[in-house]
Order: sequence, then structure tokens, then C-alpha cells
Amino acid sequence: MFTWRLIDTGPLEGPANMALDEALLNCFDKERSQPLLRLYGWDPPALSVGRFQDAAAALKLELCREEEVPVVRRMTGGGIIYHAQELTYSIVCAPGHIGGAAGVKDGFRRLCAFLLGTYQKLGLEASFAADLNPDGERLGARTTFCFAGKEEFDIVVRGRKIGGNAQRRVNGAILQHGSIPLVSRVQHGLRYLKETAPGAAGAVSLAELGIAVEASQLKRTLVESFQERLGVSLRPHPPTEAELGAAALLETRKYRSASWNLEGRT
Amino acid sequence: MAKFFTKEHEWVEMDGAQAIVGISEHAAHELGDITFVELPKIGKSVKQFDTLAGIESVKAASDIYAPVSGKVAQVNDKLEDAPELVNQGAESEGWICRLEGVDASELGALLDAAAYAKYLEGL
Repeated sequence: MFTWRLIDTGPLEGPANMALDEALLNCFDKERSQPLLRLYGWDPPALSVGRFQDAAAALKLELCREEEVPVVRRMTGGGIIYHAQELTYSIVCAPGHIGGAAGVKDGFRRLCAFLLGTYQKLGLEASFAADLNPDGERLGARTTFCFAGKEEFDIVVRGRKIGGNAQRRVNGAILQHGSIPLVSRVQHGLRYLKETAPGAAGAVSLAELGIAVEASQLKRTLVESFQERLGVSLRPHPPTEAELGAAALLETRKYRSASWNLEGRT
Repeated sequence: MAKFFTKEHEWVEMDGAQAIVGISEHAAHELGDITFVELPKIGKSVKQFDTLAGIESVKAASDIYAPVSGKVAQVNDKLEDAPELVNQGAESEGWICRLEGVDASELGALLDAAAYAKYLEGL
């Protein structure tokens, strides 16, 4: 059975998290490297904005500063997420590792299947939004707040979106990361937005669905589901010296700089 | 003039002294519903294969590389409000920008339409 790397870094600060994700992608060789799944969290809670979002137009930056909520720009698409009390994952692989799925939508379908399996193992009836959508709800519209919009491969439980996922594609390699909210902090996150996000009321967390689960138990369930859905085996393999060195540089030069985080300039 | 393609799925077509640049129909199809195009600034100078612009689809962010070196002379600002034009006609009305000061000899490092079609078959 094909083996993927499993990296569990535990919770880190926002800039360190985003720097490590980018370093893992940059150090990945699509021909020679082992694909990987990383699990992490956010400490302290932080807001992340999508690669092409206008942070100043979308966020009350003054309030973020007053309340010392860090704002970090992701290299992936999608909208704003308030990260707190969630399990976060990232995947780095090439299309060849997921059955040759080169297209974005097909890639999301394959790389989000383990999330469906995770929720199902927790006793929830989870589906892709694309497979439900009975009333022709418009999917894929661009929204400021991630949890306010639905994409085809967002996961829906009892009609409500759970978590969010985004990708970065570079030179034939794919990075996908996403959140599984243990407890809903959506309402708290909305405080930092300049505009209201009516669709966000549709977002749900595990706790709201009656699932009280510790992050450690959720990790075990997720790893099991990942191995089953992708037909691979996961083996712990922490970041290498080269990856950590690249992450340290990216953290200082990019993910702690206002020009990147607020303006998207490198 | 004929179009030339990169292996990263950009196209370029000379129009007099300027080069028109976009992404290929294959790339637009693979990206899915395009929700945003980050157009380059007019006056920006790029070297061949450097990052020129950005594009987002289905929450996936990707770079668009310059198929040839040059200076951005004009951008397709219709894409600001209607990025879906790239899905509708990636190799026509969904063009990204025009470059000036282009060295046409750099086209030699690219694929012509027949070679690009063959390259796609091998993917």
C-alpha cells in the first residue's frame, strides 16, 4: 500500500502555520516526494484571509488590533476564516497521487472525501453540496466570509455547511488545507467583518450537531478515514530540517509582514 | 499570427509589436468556475516564465506566468467584473493582458498549437 507522510504539529501561531504549509509545498517534488497530510490547530485564535482578498475592505482591522487578533493571509483561495477550536489539516500532493485528478473540481472531490468519511464515522449524514442541492441553490459564488458561501464540494450536514477547504496549485503540485470546527466560533468571527454575512448562519460545528469530541479523538478518526478513502497508509514523518528552515524564513519575511498579510504583496 | 503555448498552459499571440497573453482553454476547463483574476499592473516588467498574474477558481489560487518577457501595456479590465469571460473564451475575449517590448525570439522556447495539443495528450 502506498505510504503518505503524517505530520502532527499541534497548535501553532497563524504565521507559523501558514509558513509551514507553504514550506511543505515549496519543498515538495511532484516526481520524488512522498505526499503528506498535516494536522494542526491555531493558538492564539486568528483570522485568515484568502490569497486575493482585500483585507482592509473586508475586515475591521482596528478592532483586530485592539483585541490582538492576528490577521494572516493564506496562499490559498477562498474567504475569511476565524480559526479557533478547530482541527485544521493540510495536504500536499500531485494529481498522480489522487488518481490523476488534474482539474480543480475533481481534485476537491477526491481530497474532501476523507472529510465525508470522518463525519460519517462520527455518526453524521454528511454529503457534498453538489450531491444535494435539490432546490437549485447557487453554488460557487464568491463570498467574503468563507462559511457564508457554498461550493460544490463543501460538506453539508443537515442542510448546513460544516468547515471549509481551499487550494493552492503551483507547478503541478496541490496544497489543500481546511478546517473542521469543533465548536462554532462563527458568530465571534463575524464581529471582525465590515459587512454582514447572512449566509454564515448556515454554518455549523460538531458541537452544534451534538458531537462532543476531543481534538485527539477527532484526529484518530480522521486519520482512519483518510487511509480508507485514499487507499493509502499514513506514517508519522515530522518536517525535515530543510522544510523547517524554509518555514522559518517564510514566517519572518512573509507571514509576519503587513505588506503580505494586509495587501498581498511579496 | 499564430498562438504559442507554455507547458504551464498560458498562450501568447503577437499583434504587431505587442503580445497578447491569456490562459489556454484546457487550463480554463481544468480550473472550473473562475471567480477572480488578479490583473497585473500596467507598466510592470516581467521576465519570461515569471509570475505575471493570479487567478482563483473554486477556492483554488493559481499563478499565471509570463510566456514571454515584456512590459504590461494594457490589461483586460472587463475581467474585473466578469472573470467568467475566461471560462467563456480563454483564447479570445478572456485574454489577460498585452505586453510590449517583447523579443519575438523567445517564442522559440514555447510550443506551437500542434505541439501543445500533443503535450496535452501526454498529460
